[in-house]
Amino acid sequence: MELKNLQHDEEQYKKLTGALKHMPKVNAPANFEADLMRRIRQEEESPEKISFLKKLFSPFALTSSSIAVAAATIVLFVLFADKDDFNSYEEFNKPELIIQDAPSGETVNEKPDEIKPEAEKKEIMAAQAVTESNEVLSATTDEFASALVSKFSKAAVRIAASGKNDSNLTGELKAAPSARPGTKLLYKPAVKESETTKDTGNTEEDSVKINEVK
Amino acid sequence: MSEKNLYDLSDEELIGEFQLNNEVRAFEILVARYKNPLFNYVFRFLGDYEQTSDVVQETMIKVYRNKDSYKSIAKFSTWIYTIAGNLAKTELQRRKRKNLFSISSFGEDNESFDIKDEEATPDVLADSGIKSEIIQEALLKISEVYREMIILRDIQEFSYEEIAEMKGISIGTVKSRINRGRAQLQQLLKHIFNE
Repeated sequence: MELKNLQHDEEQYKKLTGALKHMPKVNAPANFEADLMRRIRQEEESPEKISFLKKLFSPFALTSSSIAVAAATIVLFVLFADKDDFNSYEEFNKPELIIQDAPSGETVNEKPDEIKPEAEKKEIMAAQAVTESNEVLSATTDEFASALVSKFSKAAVRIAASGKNDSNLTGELKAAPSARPGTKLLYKPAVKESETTKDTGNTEEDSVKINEVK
Repeated sequence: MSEKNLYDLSDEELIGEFQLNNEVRAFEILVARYKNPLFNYVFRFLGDYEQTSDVVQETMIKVYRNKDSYKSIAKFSTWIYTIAGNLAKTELQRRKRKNLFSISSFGEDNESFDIKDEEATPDVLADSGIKSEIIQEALLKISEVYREMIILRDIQEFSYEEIAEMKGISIGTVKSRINRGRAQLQQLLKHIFNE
């Protein structure tokens, strides 16, 4: 049975390939060659149309456009490259001190005119740290400012009374004006006050009272 | 070289003559040799006489323009059939896109559509019976890849090696595609061959 089926399939297969092989041949029209040669001659005579993209990416267009771009870059560089602004590495890398919310309510951005010596830099950094922490605490309001004034005056009075010189604190106090030239520092009046108390010989309690009255 | 000698040359020698000496007569002889086999091949693949004519003309023009890209390591027939096959596939894709566009735009402008009777060309049907028509219809229904293989093998009678070279695939792939194509065709034509 299976053999019969296989033989049947084989016969059908042969019929199919035979039918394909003996399909009528389709021929070209009689004027095919004449039409072809005419078309070839026409194409040879008329110049080939070049597409926009071909024109754009043609070697000549690429060369001329690249030259134009290079020239434009050089011109822009020569015109706008300011040596003072762009060429000084040191100037570019100078630290910028930004002091916000000074007691006067002004914001001062100041750049040092020249690079300061190492020791002075350290002082600046220390002063910056102190003032920044103070600034965080004091914010912008006058209430905070006055609170800080009294706080520092108390500390100054204490130092004066003990007769000891707190090197860290005095260092900070000294460094602060140089770090922030032109700004009013919160603790400056306190230092002055401590000096006055020392001069006049008032006690700590007296100076505190003075501050409270003020 | 004289006209008589040119006729005696093989295809490869003729294209060599055209390449080296720009002998247009050699090209014309090649056109005369290949126009009908190519026409048959492309027609069986596309099923449209006008489009077939365009594709075969385009094939010949490509041969004319790009004569220098033929290398004598391959048979000329393999080269020209590869060009024709590629152009026929491109034409088929173009037609599909066109049909898709026509269908999608149908109803917008109330245009009338003329559906071409692809098998009605008198040149084609002059010597063919109804069976050939049905086979041609079935051929157009099977997958492009299988159709191409069956036409090259069973209608144009190329060897497996030649087909493999033309299509740039292995002989095993050619054989497997031919078998699958025949099976599909047999399925479509079983009502004819069961009689």
